[in-house]
Amino acid sequence: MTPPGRRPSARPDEAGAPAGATSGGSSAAPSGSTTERDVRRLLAEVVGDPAAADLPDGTPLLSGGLGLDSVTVVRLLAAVHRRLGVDVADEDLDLDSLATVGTLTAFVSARRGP
Amino acid sequence: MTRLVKVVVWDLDGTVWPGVALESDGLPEAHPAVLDALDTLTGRGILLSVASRNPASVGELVEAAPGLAGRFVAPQYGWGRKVDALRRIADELDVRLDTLAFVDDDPLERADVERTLPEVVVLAPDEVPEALGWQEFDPGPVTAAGRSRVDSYRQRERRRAARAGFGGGEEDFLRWCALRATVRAARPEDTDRLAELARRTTQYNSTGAAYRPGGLAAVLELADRFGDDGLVGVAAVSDPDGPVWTAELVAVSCRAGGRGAVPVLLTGLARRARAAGAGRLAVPCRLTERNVPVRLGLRQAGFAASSRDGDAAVFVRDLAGEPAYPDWITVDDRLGSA
Repeated sequence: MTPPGRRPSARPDEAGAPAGATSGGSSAAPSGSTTERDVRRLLAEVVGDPAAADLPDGTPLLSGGLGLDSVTVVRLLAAVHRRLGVDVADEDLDLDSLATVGTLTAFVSARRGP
Repeated sequence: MTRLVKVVVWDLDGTVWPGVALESDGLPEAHPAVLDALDTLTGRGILLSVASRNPASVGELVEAAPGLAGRFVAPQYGWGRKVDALRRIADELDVRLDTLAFVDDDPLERADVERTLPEVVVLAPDEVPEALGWQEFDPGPVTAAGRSRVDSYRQRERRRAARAGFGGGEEDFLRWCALRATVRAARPEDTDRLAELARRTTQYNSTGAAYRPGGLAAVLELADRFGDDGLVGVAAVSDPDGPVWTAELVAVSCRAGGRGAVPVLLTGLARRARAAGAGRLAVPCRLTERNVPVRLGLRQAGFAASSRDGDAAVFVRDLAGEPAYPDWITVDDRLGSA
């Protein structure tokens, strides 16, 4: 069961969004919170492309979007865990936060603070 | 459980052959003892690779040398630290660093790897014969699929190159690959291969449980235009009866996992469970960073977390509607409804 003090899911409204859907109103990339920028920086690091930091929130992380392979996903979550202190693999059972760039930054921000 | 070495990475000059290739007229002859070790390792399904400071031109000579040609996958040539070469090899072959062994005659190179990557098994050439007797180098019964692992990684290299040059999305690419799957019940002769899958997989492994014959084990065979991967996945249900079926073990080879093997396999099992009158299919799963890929596969197959206990959770799929296979793959479903 979810430990006290942790919300079960960061953004349930976005979790099931179909591939390619944009999250209305919050699509601006570079001017986010510190945590959002940190997550985006780690994403750019693991994919080896600085431009990945500026992708729109609605970009799917897996198929239909960035198309991250399994090794890259594992590496991204390990980097987020080690450097930002949020263990997504442990805290997000259904991994809804891996839907898009925006769902992941929202999930980590909700746990770590903006 | 003892970790298993999956890849042995060899230095060349002074290790595989005596002397220095660039100072020789043609490639020096490889040590017979090394060739024997390469044969032994290949026979056990262990991959071979190269980390050499020689230029890539030496790699071309290796690929033309009898006894060495075609043996090494993801070889790394050129200046730069061996540590980085080992990281790239692990990356390209999709294995963990702690499944690598490294053989080098130069004590400085060995010390650098030992210090920086303590998870790698580091050996001097004269330690190799003894190391072949260690548990780390003993994968247990090796199957035909295990022995053809080198071919399989080569296929994957070709597939990756094709993917990089392919303009469309992931599913369009899989369609173009003409992906074909067979889902069927395990047969007695599959037992060694299934035990091997359960033991060797981590990314696409739900619980790390050993494979035990009995009950119903759905297995997956995969092929595409690049080749035939054979048996690449298993989902085992020890008690296929009652309103809730539980798959105690889901294990899929990482070379198949990236091609939708988990959702296809579990869709097959879900269809069979539903036909047998079950209302739900449950998959217990450990929650580690390493096996996030299998959980993404569960999600794709329509499973959602229903309960959690410590570092494990149970994922459940409702069987009210008939589970449908993805449309980017041709499936021969022989699990049947009986």
